[in-house]
Amino acid sequence: MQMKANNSNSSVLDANKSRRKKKMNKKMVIKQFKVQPKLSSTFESDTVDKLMSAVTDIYAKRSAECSFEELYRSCHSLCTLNKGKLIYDKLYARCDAHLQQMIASVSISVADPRRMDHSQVNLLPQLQSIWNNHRREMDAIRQVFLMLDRTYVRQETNVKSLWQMGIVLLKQHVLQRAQNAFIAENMLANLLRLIESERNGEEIDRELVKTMVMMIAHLGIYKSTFEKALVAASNAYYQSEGHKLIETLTVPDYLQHVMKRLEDEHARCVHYLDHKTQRHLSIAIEQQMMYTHAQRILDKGLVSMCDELLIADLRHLYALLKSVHKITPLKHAFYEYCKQRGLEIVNAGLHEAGGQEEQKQQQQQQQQQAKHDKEMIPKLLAFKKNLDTIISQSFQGHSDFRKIIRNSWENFINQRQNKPAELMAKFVDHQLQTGARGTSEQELEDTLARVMDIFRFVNGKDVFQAFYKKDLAKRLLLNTSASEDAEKSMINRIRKECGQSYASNLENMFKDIDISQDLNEKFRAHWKTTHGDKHVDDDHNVNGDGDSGGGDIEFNIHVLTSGCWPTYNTQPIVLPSSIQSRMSEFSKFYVRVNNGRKLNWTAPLSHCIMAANFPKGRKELVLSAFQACVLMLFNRCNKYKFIELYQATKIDKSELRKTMLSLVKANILLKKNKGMECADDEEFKLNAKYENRLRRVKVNQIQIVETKQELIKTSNKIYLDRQYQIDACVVRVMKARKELVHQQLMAECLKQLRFDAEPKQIKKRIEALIENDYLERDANNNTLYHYKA
Amino acid sequence: MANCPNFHGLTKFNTSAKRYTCDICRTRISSYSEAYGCRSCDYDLCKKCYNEKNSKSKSGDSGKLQSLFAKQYADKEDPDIMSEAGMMKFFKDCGVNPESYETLVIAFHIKSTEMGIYDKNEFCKGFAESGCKDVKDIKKVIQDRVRAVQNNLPEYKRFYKWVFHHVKEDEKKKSIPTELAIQLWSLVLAKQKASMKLLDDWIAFCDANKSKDMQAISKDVWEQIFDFLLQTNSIDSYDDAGGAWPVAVDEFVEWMQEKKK
Repeated sequence: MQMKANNSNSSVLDANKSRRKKKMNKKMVIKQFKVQPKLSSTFESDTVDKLMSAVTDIYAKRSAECSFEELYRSCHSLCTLNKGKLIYDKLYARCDAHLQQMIASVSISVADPRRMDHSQVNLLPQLQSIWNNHRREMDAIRQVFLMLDRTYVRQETNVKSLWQMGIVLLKQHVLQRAQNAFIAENMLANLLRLIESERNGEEIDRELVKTMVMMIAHLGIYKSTFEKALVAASNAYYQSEGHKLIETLTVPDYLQHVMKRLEDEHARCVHYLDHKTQRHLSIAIEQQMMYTHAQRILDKGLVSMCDELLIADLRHLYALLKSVHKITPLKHAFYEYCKQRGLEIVNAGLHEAGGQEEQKQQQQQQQQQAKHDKEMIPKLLAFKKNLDTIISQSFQGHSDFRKIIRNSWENFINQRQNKPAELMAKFVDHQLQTGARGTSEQELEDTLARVMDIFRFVNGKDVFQAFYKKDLAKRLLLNTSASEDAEKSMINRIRKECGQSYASNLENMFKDIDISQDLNEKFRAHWKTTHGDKHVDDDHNVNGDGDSGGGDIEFNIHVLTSGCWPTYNTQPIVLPSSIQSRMSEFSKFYVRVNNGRKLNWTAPLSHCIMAANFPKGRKELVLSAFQACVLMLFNRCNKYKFIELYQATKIDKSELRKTMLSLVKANILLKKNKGMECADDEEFKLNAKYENRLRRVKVNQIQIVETKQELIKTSNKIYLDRQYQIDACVVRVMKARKELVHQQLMAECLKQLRFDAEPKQIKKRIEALIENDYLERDANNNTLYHYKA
Repeated sequence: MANCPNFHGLTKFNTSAKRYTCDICRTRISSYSEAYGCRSCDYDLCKKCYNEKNSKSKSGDSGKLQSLFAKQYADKEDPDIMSEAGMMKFFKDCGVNPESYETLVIAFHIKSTEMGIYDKNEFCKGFAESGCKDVKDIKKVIQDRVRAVQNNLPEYKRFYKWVFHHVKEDEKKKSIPTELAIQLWSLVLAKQKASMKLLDDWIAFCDANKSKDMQAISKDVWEQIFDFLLQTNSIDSYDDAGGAWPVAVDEFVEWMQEKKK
């Protein structure tokens, strides 16, 4: 360009001169055209040579003879002269030759069979250096031949840019030459081996791997070949690891290992692999280590993990199983776990009682059973708490798991028919009696709430009610309840759980107690106005002659609505006249206030405090009515025979026997014969040497036998209640179906009834319904029933 | 009156397209025509035979029977019922064993409502309907009836079911005391002993439990036990019929199995 510009300038000068001359001479001179500067014939080849030698320099890592600028300009000139193709081709051939040489050098060193074994890994550094060199070289070349890229490559469609050309050449040499096939194979194999050794915990040259991966990526075989191979290798690796470790490691360790593996793979992808590969690797781990072993993991580890409450490990388990969509087996396993553990608790200490076993052994078993039963509810509560923790903290509070808990609990808690409900009532009773002792109100509330949580699963709600009612009655009448607030809150809970009608009976009992208190006040005032002139003595002075009417006694009465309370024995007994007079007075008083009502006296429940003057001092005795009646008799005489006592008191013999034994046990009375037997002619004597360091003595009643009878009574009552439910169910089914085969009817009833009815019970009710003309048997087929509307 | 072999009475009906054959003249009764039959015995008569038989058969005479009853059998204190001696005489006249269930068949025949008592009105009405005028007729009818009950199982069962109804104290009662049931079984089922191998065991079982939880026998048990005893030859071949037997039967089976051990 510069040269040209000079030329044109000079010609302009010449023109001006000539014009002036023209003016002067008026003579036109025609000059020849200036000859175009001609390139030297060797310019092209020279430049090309220069450039090629520069390339050689680059390859040889020498500094070039000429400056880069000069080289650049040369290339530029050639391009302007449309010699692009020439240079490109030359360059192509040069690169080709160079690469071939380079690769060949690799091949030699690797192909050497003696070094084959441990040189495998050496291949990679060589390739790495080749790649690094190639990159550097191509970079330099590209800079020199920038113009080529910009002009020639752009104009032509089929020609690749220089960089591309380099890659293509490299690819050709590394991958497509038959004699170099081993490089491609070994390269991949070695890479995978490297990654594997890293997985095995060895330190590797991450930089090397990174470069290789980059090269592979540039060669365009990352996805098609490398990734595929890597994933396959990972699968195989984790498969074998999974098989190995599931045998040797404990499940929590195994899970931790899997988590670590996942993290490692993630790190690997961050460091030298493509981030898209991570997904494939994670899947490989999850599939090979979790999916295939899910059942085993659950079989092997779930139980112990739940038992030991390994929240974090369970959380891992949940997350891992969720990612492989294996939650369903987890649910099943969890269900089985709940059921099994629950059954263990519920059935703890249950033995098959054989007929020929010795009675003593049986008794021992019974005692053990009772002990186990006592522990059942606290154990269940603890178990439920654990399960709740596991679900909320490990299983993300998944609603399906809550459902599982409900199902499994309903399943196992009802296995032992009515026992859990009964024990639950007892447990609550115990809590409410001793509640305030040692536990704060909040704790008590908490316990009650948890009991209700379990109660929800119990089918025999009626059983619970019956026992609860019985216990509540005792608490109310004997005033042993720990706190009224707790009682009320318990009733509220029951109402919330079972509805108004279920709890209303219980509420009525409270009402009765309240009303009774009121009534007592009124009656006391009434008594004072009618008998007020008699002497007022604060002492409950009923000793002296028992029938003399006593002094003033404090007299409390509970009026209980029949039907709301458990039924008690109302058999009349002979009471001291002082009591009797008050009783008859109260009856009159009560009937006057509440017209048309009838009072039945229930003696067995009453209790009293009595003062007794023993030779060694005065004591206050807390006694049941029976005990008091018996003791009153001893005011008259020091010695009685059992049969005489029976005649005097008219207390039921078995009750009287218990009463006597309790008094003997308390050392107030002396029994002629030792032992727990009590024949009709047994003699009792007042213990003149009675001593006790307390002023007020509570004489315990003998309970054991009584509770057993009560138990049977309560169960019977429950059965009666259930009878109607069964009837209703049978009729309901038959009304809908009109006619039904026996077995289907039974199945339908068992399905519909909320409690575990025995087939025999249902059958009995069916027969009763036949008898009452609700159903009839088919004339020809005795297993078919018809509904008679 | 024309009657079926089991004394159910014949009802008038119109034959359908089905084939009916007259049981007397053995000819086919044409379709859609008048006929008389008893469905439970599958006994049909054509109109002609029915009328013939009706006119041939002696019509009963209630008046004669009444005087017969009053003369021979009536209780002196209450002329409306049969006295004890009268009964014995009556049984002898009819050739009936007073110790057997045949006496119940008589009651069955005259549809007696109260056990052990033959009411005059029922007596006269019952025998007059079956065309009786004197003791001879009565004897024949009773012998026919006894035979019918004995040889025809469905009829026997009908009789068996009726017995329960008969011995109940009143209409409202749903069951009979086990004690009574035991007596009745040994009386009524005596003839069936050959086909009811477990009868004695069953009675023993009831006897053992009559003071415990089996104080009464319900109608269902009464009827079902008949089938059960017929079907079951030994406790090993017991068919539980899908568990549909009454609880008493289940308990009986358990009791038997226990006893076997």
